[in-house]
Amino acid sequence: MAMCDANIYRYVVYQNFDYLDSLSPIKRSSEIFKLETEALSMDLKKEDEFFGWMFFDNPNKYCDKLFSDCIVDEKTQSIIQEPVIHGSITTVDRAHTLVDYQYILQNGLSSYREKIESEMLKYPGDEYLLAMRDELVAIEKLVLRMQLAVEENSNGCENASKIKTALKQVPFYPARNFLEAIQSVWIIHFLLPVAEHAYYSISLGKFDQYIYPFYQKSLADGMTREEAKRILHNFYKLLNSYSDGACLLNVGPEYNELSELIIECQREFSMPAPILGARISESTPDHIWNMLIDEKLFSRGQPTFYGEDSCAAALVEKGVARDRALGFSNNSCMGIGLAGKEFNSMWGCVFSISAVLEAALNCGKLLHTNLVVPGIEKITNLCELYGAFERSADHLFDICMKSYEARADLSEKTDPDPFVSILTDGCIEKRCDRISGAEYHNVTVECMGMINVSDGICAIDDLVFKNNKYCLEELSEAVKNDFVGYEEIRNDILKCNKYGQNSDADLYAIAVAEILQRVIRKKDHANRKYSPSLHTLTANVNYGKNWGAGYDGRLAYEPFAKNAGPSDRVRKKEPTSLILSAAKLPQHKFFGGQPVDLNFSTEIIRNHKKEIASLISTYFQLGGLQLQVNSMTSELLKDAVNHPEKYNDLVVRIGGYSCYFNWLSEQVKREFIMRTEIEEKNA
Amino acid sequence: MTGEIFNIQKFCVNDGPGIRTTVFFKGCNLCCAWCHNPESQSASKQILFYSDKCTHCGKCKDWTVNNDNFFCANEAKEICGKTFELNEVIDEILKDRAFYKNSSGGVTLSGGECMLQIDFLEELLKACKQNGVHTAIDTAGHVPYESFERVLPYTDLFLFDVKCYDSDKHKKYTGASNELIFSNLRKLLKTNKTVWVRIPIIPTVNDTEEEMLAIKSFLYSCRAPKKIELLPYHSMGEHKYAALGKAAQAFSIPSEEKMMQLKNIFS
Repeated sequence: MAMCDANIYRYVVYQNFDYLDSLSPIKRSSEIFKLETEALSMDLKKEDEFFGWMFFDNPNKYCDKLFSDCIVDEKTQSIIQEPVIHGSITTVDRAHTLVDYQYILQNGLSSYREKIESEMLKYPGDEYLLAMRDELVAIEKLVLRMQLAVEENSNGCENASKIKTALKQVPFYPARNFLEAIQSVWIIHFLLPVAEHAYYSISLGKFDQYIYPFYQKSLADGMTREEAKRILHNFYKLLNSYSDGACLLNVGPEYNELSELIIECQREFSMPAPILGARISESTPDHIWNMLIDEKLFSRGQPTFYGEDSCAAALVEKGVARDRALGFSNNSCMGIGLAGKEFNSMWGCVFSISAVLEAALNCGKLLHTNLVVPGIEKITNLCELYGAFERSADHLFDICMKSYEARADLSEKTDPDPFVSILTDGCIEKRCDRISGAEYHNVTVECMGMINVSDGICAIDDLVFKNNKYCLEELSEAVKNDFVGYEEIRNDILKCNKYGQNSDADLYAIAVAEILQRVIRKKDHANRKYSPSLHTLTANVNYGKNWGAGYDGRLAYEPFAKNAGPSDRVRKKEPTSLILSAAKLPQHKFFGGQPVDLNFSTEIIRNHKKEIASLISTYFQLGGLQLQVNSMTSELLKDAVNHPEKYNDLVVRIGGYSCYFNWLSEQVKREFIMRTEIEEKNA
Repeated sequence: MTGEIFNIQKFCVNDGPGIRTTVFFKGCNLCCAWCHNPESQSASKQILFYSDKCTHCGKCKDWTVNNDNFFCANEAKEICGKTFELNEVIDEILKDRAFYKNSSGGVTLSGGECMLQIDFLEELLKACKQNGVHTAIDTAGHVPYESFERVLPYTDLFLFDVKCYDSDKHKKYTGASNELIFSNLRKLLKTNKTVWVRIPIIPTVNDTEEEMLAIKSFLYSCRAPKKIELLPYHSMGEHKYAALGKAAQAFSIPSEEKMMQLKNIFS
């Protein structure tokens, strides 16, 4: 059964284009939302614990016409597209919604309805308030249809009477028990992407904290732990049924019995979603560490660890008062935010740092395009280099910022989202969309290639400024030609220190990071928060594919460094050195997020939990924000055989001996894979 | 003062308690047939050549171990062994101090046979202790006991390798008889130092109950070590024999049942 995805939006627009085109954008948004909720099919299965299956499985039909008011003039179009020339891209990213579930569970949607109605008395006929109210009406009707489906109960669901009671209460009125709380969260969670027409990365926030009182109440009323687990299993199945399911579920920093149940579920259900975000503080107990450091979880890249104090410090740096900052939620993969107070454009801008360096080194000229950054003179030392770098960054980021602002204006004017705005604090009172009404409109600025650039500056400082071995023009010529005919220069560059080995090369990364955060954050205005980030996901591969060679010895089209990790040119990668390097970066100023990735063998996860816990907590003590883990599975090892270039850092250990996987002979690799397979069978 | 070192490896978790940095000293006076670090045996610098990574560019044809510009972009050729100043090694060790503190870890000096560079070793240990770093020595024990006496004041833990009790066999497979080793171990166990005995299990050499019982009765005739670890043979060093242009002697890998059976002898 297909679940709901963006096809429902396309279908509704396709079916009703002329009618929708005749409406104002605000009215149109609420009409589309209503039509979507009406187009949903629903089903109550025999084994369901609560009502969850809503879907749309009509064929993919859509028209390629834009609504008349979405067509922009040439000048705006050129502003929007301009960053592409220097390798940057902007987007108004409509996913990554993080609503305040605690408030919703305690007050119900009816409390929002009351707020809207009281504003309507003051501002009768206000179009935005009307659209908000209409969307709540559409949800009421949807819940009524659910109630009818439960009454009909065509599949003989044994829990029908409980579910019927729950649906009379939630999501409009406060939840009274565990089942109602989960039912309420699911309905809202399901509707958020429908409203945003963006089906990914919707986060659950501090789930174990806001659900806990309901869990305790139900346990006191006779619910068993096993029943709770069945309800959670039902919830997990639903979360995994749409799109990438990349929603982050926070556990901690205070761990309760529900947190433990969730970690247990996460391990047993073996599903990709949700991502478990484990919040770590000085007081995280040993038994929780032991549950979290688990080979089954690690092999699926779970959990993601977050440093409680450093995340809060990052929000303070962003300008949030300390007491409010402590109430943060980790959102999506890398966000640190306040539930119900933000609009998060997490891929708002991918900023090409390679372009900045090229312009800084070549009197404003980029190596492969005609673009010239004005006012950049010839440089002769490191200090001038940093000056030119900052001016280039300023100029190129300004282009990105203008492009983003134009997109955001367009999105707010032509494609508002009244439902998400209802749930975003302040929008009802301001009678406006979340784009300008949210307290923070975060535009994450992913500094693509920053580590490669800082390694490049390190090499230039060594080879050009300190040792006069080459002149800058020679180096640029070599980079421009992808080092063909300049192999000696590349060898010399590769010999230079690189970020990630806890060496002096890290100083260049710190300097570059400081410049970039200054340039980026200078653009803040109104609720716009340009948030520096080193979060690449796997986009470092694609962006690398579209860019020529770099001053760090990276060849054309090779991937950029991933996240806050070292570049692929780093030969010896050790987790402690990487952690010390990454912790030197001004992490709190990169509050857009900057994970580092570590890979562990199953042997280490099984036998050295204490050491892994020490490694992770040391990182957070030093100011690290986020750490992602993985473990070697036989599948990963097989990939490492076929793509050794991706696995320079893969260390395998047996007994007292350790070595890089890539150093092993083919035969030994095969043997190692075989062993791992045996281990997996025995696990 | 300088030492010959061939690797300083961070985040070692199998060479003593906690998170450790292991310093591998170059040079060994045994020549164990199953050695997984064959590049550690010679005290002098050597070239490792991984032929499967070589693109035959020819740039390296005049390179020697003393060449300053020795650098293969393909990582096909590298020099094993580097002369380190004492301070360089200490600086490298101290970089991970935060991790030692949080995990009750420290430094492990290994090899090769680190005790062969006793002057350097002693100074390095002293410096580690002055900086509050927990110290461990990984040794095969085939050195004069005076060497142990020199490092005792600065060493928190000894990882003492025992191969086999049968002296002829020991001589056949390691190139040396084992009298000195066992005599050193007996003396060391009489001190109040923590000792972990580590026994590599090599099929056809020492994977028998008789061998383990003999080692056990020896150990129990002294003050029993704090820990006895049995490490299964593995062939992970094979590619390095090829890189040195040497032939590796093949052994089979002990089964899990076999390891269990032998471990039970000590439990």
